[in-house]
Amino acid sequence: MVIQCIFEGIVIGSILALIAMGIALIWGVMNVLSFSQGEFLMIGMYITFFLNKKWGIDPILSIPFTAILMFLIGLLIYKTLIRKALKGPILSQRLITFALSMVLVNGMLMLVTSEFRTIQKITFSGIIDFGFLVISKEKLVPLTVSILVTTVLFFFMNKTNTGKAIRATSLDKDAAELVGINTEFSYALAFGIASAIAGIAGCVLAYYYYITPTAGTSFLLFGLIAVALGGFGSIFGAYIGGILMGLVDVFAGVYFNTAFKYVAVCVLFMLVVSLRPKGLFGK
Amino acid sequence: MRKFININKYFIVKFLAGLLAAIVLPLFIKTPFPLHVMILICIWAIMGMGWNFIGGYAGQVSNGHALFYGIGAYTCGIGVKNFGASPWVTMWIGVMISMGIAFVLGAPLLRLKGHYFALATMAMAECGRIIFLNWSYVGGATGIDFFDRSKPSWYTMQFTSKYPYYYIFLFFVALILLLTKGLDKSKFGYYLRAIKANENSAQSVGIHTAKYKLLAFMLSAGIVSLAGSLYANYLQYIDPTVVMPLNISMMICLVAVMGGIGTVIGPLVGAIVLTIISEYTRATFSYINGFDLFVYGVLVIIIVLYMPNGLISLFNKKQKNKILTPLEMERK
Amino acid sequence: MNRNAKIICKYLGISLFITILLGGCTKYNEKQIEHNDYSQDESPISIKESKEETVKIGVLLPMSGAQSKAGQEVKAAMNMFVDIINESTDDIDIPLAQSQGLPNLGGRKIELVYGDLKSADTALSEAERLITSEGAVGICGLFSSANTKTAAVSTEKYGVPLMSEGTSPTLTQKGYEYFFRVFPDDTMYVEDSFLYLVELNETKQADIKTVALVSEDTEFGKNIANVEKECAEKYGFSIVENITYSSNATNLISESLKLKKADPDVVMMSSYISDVILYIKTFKQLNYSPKMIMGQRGGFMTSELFTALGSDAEGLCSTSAWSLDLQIPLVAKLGNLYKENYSDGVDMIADVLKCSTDLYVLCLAINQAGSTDADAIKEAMLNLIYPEDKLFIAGTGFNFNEVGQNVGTSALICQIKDGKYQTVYPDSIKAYDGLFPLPSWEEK
Repeated sequence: MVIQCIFEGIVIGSILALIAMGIALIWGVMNVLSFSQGEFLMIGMYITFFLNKKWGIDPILSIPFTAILMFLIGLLIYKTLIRKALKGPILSQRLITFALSMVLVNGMLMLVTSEFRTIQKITFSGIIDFGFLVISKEKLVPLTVSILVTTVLFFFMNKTNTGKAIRATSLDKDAAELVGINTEFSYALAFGIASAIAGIAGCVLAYYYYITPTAGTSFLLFGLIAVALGGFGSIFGAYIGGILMGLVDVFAGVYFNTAFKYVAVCVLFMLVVSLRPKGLFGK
Repeated sequence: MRKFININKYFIVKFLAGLLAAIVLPLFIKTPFPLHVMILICIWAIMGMGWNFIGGYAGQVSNGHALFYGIGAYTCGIGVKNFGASPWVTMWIGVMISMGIAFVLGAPLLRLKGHYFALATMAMAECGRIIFLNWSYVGGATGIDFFDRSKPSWYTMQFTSKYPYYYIFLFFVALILLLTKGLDKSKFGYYLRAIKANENSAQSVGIHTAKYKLLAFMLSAGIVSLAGSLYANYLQYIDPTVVMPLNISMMICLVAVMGGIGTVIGPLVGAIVLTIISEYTRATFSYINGFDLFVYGVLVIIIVLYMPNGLISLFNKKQKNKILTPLEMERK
Repeated sequence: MNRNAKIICKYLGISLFITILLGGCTKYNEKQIEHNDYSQDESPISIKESKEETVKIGVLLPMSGAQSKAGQEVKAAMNMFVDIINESTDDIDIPLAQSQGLPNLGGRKIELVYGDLKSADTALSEAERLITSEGAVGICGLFSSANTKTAAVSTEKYGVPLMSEGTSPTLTQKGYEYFFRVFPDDTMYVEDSFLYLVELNETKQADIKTVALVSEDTEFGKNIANVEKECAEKYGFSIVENITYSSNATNLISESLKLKKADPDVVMMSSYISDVILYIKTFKQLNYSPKMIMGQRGGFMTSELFTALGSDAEGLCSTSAWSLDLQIPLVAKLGNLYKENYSDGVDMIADVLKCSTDLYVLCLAINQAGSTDADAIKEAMLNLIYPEDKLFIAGTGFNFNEVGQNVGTSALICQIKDGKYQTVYPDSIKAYDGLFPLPSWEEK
């Protein structure tokens, strides 16, 4: 049972971690708390769903396409909305992303109705039953994908010039401009990447979750908390924050009380930030 | 000093004119729905003004005030249902409880900066919602249905007509508006603005920042709780999904930001505009699934995007560019 | 002073603008409402008889959010009944079908006015808006128990009949004046579920001893869990696990793990569609196959269950008040009419029929009363005359008792077989022998 809990906790944590990384990136670079990340996740799920319905593409194979498409959608939203919003006060920025999430949810509701859908054609499925541990093959996908994305993102931010430029922009925008970094480009790129990661999270989530326009909303709060738990600006921190929350979620549910499992998550978060106001790995 | 009195004189004239308009206006309304909208405006205005103390003046953006809203509503509900107490009394008990909780939670949470504070308060409100949802003494998910005909209507604050509600709520709006105005130009108000501008320098000039932040947090919690009590009496039914969802916490911010954050009448203006948009989009566009909230969201984005300092910047040309920091005020 | 005058003008101008805005959006011309002394106990606001042609009925449906798909289906079914009433429909042999409009009201036709059900507090204000601004003479719709409660605050205040879809037994204990429920309440449904288990034990030697309760943390879930607890005791089943969970959860892993560990004979669930999908998928991923899953309507009684879960939905049981396989010719006729002309090929399910039957019964009562006055409608409702051979629901007819509950109704249990709900209980109307225990996931 304990082993099963650990496994399930890490799987759930992986998905939260993917959402959290996108939020962490936007937070770190633009200092905006993005409330629309859950909706990007939802749109990613819909892209996966329609690819699957039309051509029978397995969600795992649709990851590259979804990521690219979400990247472009993210760029579009950045260019039309977020760029203007960044000139306003911080709170307005947050509320604009909140209103954006409302627009996206209800726009999707008008487009595709609220009908609950699920991915029907999954080639990569089945279970391996060890008795003490049941591993569903579908759950290995979020696990591997999240580790891959974290690694790729980590190397991109630390080893490539573009990544370094984004980091420089997040540290000091004016100084970055002085040394010839196109900060506008960095911002757009960061927002696009964050949307793409949300899209990837949507792909892996589609394996077991239902797809409806409001599906992303419930993940948002926990994604946000995971970022703050790990400490912002740290991609690694967001990953650990997500995993930790997944573990707390499952263990609190099984050994404490299912009705109060989210209370346990929230209380843990409040305790951590009370003791370490910048999160576990915050600088 | 003279300038100060001048401002006050004009404010009083404005205030009385506004109040008069607000008193006379419903007499021309013959259907309950517009009156319902006006009552909601009052509720949101109280909430917005309450939140404004911590989020607007002190600059500590809380995204969890739904907790206090819920506590206010529940204190009234339990008071009427279980003890037969009058809401006129229980609403103040609710204020006390909210302030107490704000004191206990505010001490550790107010040390957090920026987004961390917002997220911690959000988590706080979410905890509150789940606890109330599973707490059988307060009715749990079933909520409290406290319609009570056995006592006189003024005692239980339960009327079949909407007019008494409107005037009671209007009275509280006026009261809190005056309170805000009084604190706006007081030492307390300036301290809070100093904390908002730069907490470290405020500390260095001898302002006890932790104390004033906590005071502002408690004050705003109390006022929001008051709004919750009033709304509960209007609705006569409460459950955690009605009074404590995350959306309410965000909407409170939205009211203040749309009107003009850190200003006296900003939240009032925001409440008027936001409530009218929200109620009438629903009444007009709800025949298409989701279209009403879509329109609502688009309008909110447009207003917040093009008027980052709130709708009040339309009226107040002097403050059009930005809300003055204490330093700039001194220069003038 | 000049400046003061200016300010006053400005403020009055703004107020005028707001008044116009407030007033302009609502239709004044329809109803005149007189405000009396509000301390009166009787309904204080009398709505003058409308001179228009149509009889307006307010319909509250979830138009946005997760339940709006179900709302659309209900809307389609209601339109079907409105067409049956308004046009002369010969092949459906039920009262009001042959004539055009309501004969006792001089052939006045029915018109539906819609409101949105977002949450419990919008139910109150939308019901109020439909009554006062749109002139609705009755309210029906796809309510949850919580929404029914707040909508009842409005309907009681203005004295308008409310056709309840909320099944909570507490609703009829509140002494509402204008409250009617055509279909069973939770107690009847849950009682039937346990009677079915007893029957299985007796006839099939199913040896069911333990049950686990799974309920979401809403009014709906909590009420049912309470009734289930009482009934389990009454019929001698032991409850091995009682789980309350947050609705619209991000995962249901710990809930499912707990169930797997407890391994009850029957899992009794009250969930909405989103969580039903998630539970079934999680069960499958954890390789946990309960012997029986007994749902209490909600998510178990939606057409989305088939599209979302496909073959995984096979074998799920749910209580219901109606089923397409009832052996009454009218049922098949209505079902076909709905499927062909109104729903783009989606089969009619119980909840959709329930809501639209509410509307139909309200129209019957209005017709019998010959007026749109609430008290006359109530009087007619309590003495509703309906030919028993023209019934299209299970039970004996529409006989409302003094608290507004139809005592002629009865519950039944369906199991999903071949992508359809098929009645398995009670014995007298069952369409096939229930399947117990359910096969494991590999065998399916």
